[in-house]
Amino acid sequence: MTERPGATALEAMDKVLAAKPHQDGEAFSAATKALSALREEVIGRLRRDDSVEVRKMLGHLNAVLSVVLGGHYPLGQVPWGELEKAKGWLEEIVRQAEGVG
Amino acid sequence: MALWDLENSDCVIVMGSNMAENHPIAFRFVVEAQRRGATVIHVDPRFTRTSALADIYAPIRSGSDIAFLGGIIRYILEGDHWFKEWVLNYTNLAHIINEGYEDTEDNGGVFSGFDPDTGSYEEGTWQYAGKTVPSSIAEHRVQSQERKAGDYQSMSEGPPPEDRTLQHPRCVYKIMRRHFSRYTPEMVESLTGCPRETFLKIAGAMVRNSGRERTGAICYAVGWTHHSVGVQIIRAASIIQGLLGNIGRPGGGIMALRGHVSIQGSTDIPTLYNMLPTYLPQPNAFHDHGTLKSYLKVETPPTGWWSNFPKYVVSLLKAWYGTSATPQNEWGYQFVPKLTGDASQEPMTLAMTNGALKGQFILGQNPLVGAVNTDLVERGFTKLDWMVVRDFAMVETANFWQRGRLVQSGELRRDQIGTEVFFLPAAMAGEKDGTVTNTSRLVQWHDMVCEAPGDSRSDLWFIYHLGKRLRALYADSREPRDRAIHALTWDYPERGPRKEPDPEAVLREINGYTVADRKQVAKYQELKDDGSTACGGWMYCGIIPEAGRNLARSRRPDGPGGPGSHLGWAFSWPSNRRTLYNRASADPEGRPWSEAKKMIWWDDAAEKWTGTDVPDFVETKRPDERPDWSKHPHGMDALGGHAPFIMEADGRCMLFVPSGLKDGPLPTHYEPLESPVINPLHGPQSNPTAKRWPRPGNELHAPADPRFPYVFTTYRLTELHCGGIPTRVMPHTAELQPEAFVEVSPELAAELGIRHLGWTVISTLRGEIEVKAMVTQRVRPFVIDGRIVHQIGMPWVYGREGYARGASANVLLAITGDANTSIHSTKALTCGLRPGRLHGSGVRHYD
Repeated sequence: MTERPGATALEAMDKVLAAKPHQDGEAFSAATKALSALREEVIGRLRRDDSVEVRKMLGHLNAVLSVVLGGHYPLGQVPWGELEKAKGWLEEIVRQAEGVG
Repeated sequence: MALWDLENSDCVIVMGSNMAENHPIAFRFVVEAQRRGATVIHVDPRFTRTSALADIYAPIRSGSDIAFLGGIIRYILEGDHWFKEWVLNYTNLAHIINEGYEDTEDNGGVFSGFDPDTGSYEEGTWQYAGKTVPSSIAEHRVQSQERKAGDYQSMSEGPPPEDRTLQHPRCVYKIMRRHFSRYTPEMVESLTGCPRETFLKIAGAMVRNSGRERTGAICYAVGWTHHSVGVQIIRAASIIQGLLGNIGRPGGGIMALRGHVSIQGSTDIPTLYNMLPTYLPQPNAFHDHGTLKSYLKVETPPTGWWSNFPKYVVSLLKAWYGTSATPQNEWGYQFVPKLTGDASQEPMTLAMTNGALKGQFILGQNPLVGAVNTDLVERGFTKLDWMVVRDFAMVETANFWQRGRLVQSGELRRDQIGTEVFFLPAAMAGEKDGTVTNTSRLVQWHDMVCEAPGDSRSDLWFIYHLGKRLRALYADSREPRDRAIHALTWDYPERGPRKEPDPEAVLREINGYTVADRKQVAKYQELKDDGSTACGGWMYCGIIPEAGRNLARSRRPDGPGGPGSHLGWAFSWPSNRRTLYNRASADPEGRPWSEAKKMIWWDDAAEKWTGTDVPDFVETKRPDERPDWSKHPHGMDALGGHAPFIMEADGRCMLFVPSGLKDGPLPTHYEPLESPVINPLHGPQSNPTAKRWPRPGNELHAPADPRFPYVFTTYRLTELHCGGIPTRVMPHTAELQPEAFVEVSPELAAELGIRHLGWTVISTLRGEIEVKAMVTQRVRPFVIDGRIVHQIGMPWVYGREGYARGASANVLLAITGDANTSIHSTKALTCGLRPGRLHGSGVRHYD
């Protein structure tokens, strides 16, 4: 994983949304790995600084991860609309986490 | 049907099970049926002890079950052998299907509504003409998005259109005849390898043993479910039994042989991700489930018994959240987690390898033996922060970091694995009280024989005390997501110095009670949706109908000359009923079809249904009662007194399924996901909706890949219980099956130069194992489409722990899923085979 897991996660989400894979899960796998790495970083930050903001960020990040897993392993159709929204949340998280504007 | 009802069968087919070895207690009733004159048939790729006891044995290639059963359906339809009065009145054979419906036979091997981009179906064209039929099962949606709410109301506007002359081109009868027209005896032989004569003998036996005077039963186990078309195999059996009138009648039915442990119980009070207790759908974040009101609106079928759904949901929430469940907070509905996708074991294993999971509890499982693609599972374990394993002996899963295949092969070093493993000793069955629910939905109580040694504790103890500690840890939390933990009722009485929670108190809660006075609810018909009743699982209502009366404890068999339903033996949900849909044991007027096969009938004088079982019907609903469609009836008012299948929206047995299945309204033959045979019936080689998750380490073999020319199947052994550990660690049982083996036919052994007890290497793209050969005529080559196809088989219950050791067959398997259940395919895949031993970095036999 790169030193900026947030940027990697965003990039992975972009690839998922561009490719809209249905059977091939490679893009989703990459997104999951990147989001998991970002989560590790946020957890690390939370352990150093148990603030409301970081805790909230972690909650939102877990929600994004849930939606991505729901896209990778869908019940019926892939929820593309929700994945678009999740990407928006992720951008917000990354802005907070890494100052990516 | 009850296990003991098998002895009333005139013909018993065992298929997808080695019943004599793996369900020996159940098999005694088959033996009794045979003693009374029944024909016993075993259909299986291997000749086993079940085959040896059967009157007819039919060998078939693994994964060709639907071709075989489809052949029987065709035989029944074309020979006009179906039970006319029963079928026309009680099934949807005459129903007319939507104009847009296209069958696999006319549509390139897929049904109408298939989207090749998503690999999924839209089921609009499968509906009854002018209707939208709600499904009767939980987590049933083909689509993840709702249709316009309210379209199910069409079912209360009038009965589905029918053509009882069966001439309409889109009636189910005509559709089925077209659909199964190619499943001729010749095709069955060519595709399954079963000789045509044997097939015809079996089809003949089945139809001879049906009708008013005779009935037949079909018994299956995971030999049917563990396929990429598992649900559709069972559907094919349902169609046969539906056409022969073998449902809801003495000696008739489909016997789902459940595991020796509480397998049925673990779906009733589920460990499954997509169901709340007793088959209520888990709310989904992407459905119209945002509020309890919308969830109940879209999930409640307007007609049939499931219209009571809100009562069961609200009572469940009240049982879980007690005084914290109020009308103001939707009875705690928002405490219930909402699904976003498929969170079953297979996809979560893959997600684990991607780092999405932080930890895992493993209770009553040993995935490094029992789960498919065990090397991939092991890689996933290395990504966890922590893992809790509870068992009563060291299992392969718990010491993967020390002795796993990846460590042994050198792929990983111990110091590279950061997973913290907590291995906790568990009590054995005889060391705890509680219930076991298995075959026949029979719930049986068992008492503790002796206390578990040392720190060993029951799973109930563990879960309960873990819950208590979590509640203490979160007591000060103000996070909204932690409110569910605060709200949970978690107050079971504790016993003795070990503080063992009282399992009967748990069962009392599952049974249900009235909130005001905490009195037991006697039956589920008393449950309410106003918060006045609490119930942990509506189908279990009545198991403790009053204080101090635990029917699961009951052990009163009928005496000689008694009815033989044995209603005093334990409790069978729902309502202690032994045979579901038993209204079908009487004709439309309410009279038994025959004296020999009577079970439930209408007592005109008493004005109620009566008989030898608990009626599965509204007790006082007259057989001649009909819905008043001018009033747009709901619930059971929309079902006539001649509609036995009360869980379906129109009370009819669904030969054709308009809603609820993700892979089509009728079963059709597809080859297994891996097969040496090219599908002779359709363009699609395998089930186009099956779940495939290709990735490095989980690749599938291409059809007829010459590197993997042999069909491979897995199974249990009667001498080694469950996943093997309970018996592999016991010297006296381990010595009965001391090491792993692969069964190879003499023909294939001669071709490859394999000798009996010699070493072999079995390979797939997922892994390689070495194992000794059992050269035996129990497995045989099949002639498929004019060429020889070899099949080999191996027990999956071995591992590296205990006295009886050997390679885990599940190393070879891929992670895949049936479209409906996500269950893996363990019964039909392909492999390579050679004599000799592994070399290089392969993991050798566990000497």
